[in-house]
Amino acid sequence: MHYAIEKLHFSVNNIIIFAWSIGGYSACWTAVHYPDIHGLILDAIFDDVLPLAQRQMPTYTKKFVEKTIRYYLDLNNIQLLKLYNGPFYLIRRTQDEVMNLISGKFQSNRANEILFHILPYRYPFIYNNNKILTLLQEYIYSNKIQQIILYEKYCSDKDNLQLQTEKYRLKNPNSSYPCKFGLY
Amino acid sequence: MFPGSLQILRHALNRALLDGRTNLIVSYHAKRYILHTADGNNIDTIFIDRRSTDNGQILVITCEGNAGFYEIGSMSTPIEGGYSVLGWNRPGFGESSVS
Repeated sequence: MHYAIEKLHFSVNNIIIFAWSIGGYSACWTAVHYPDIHGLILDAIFDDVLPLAQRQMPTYTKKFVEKTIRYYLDLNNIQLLKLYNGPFYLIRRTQDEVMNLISGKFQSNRANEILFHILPYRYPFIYNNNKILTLLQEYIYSNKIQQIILYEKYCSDKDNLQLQTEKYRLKNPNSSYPCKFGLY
Repeated sequence: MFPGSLQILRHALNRALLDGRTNLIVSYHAKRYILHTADGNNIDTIFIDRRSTDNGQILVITCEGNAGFYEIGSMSTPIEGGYSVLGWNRPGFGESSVS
């Protein structure tokens, strides 16, 4: 980053970090330390490396793996993402062999966990009860067609929603999280 | 945890990495720089400058996955998009050193 800014003379807000898999950690770290970057693209990253590491190792080593990871290789992306205020784009690969804990099931993809943590953190007044959280889970676990049905069912009032978000943006031009949208 | 840093993989991929790097340099006039880090490592980086174009004003820094190398990794996507791209190998990967 320092090299890109000082030697290559790019301004921070013209820099995008693109990360794949475990590179997501360095990317999130960079985003926390350079919050003014243009954006962050996270392709097939995990929320926390521990469940993935444990899956690769025999069950009886579970505790040992947990200790090793937490002490030496604690790559916890959610912790970092909560410290970053800017935009990020999450790519979830439905056929991913590594990030899907159960292979072929995108419902077990670790990227889902990122959304479950970050959305309620960023919008605490929207995701403030179990009903909404269950709905979010249902939406994330659905395929495209089911998602369209859910969207039509709950968000048919598009114009009104758009109006509300625009109004909020006008009142709060500098976005920061947790966001107060939905408080009033 | 980082199989990409294993010596055996380095040997197996040597040719592919060299080809990938050559391709970046020949096709896109990429510039290669070695960065010295505070902890004494050398990070192998490669930079494609496209600032003469609109999209090129944006620099995309790519962070590779496990057993991923800039030479054969995710740089190709932003390159196709016409952006300026900076790729790097983490310590122990490819030509980046490990101490």
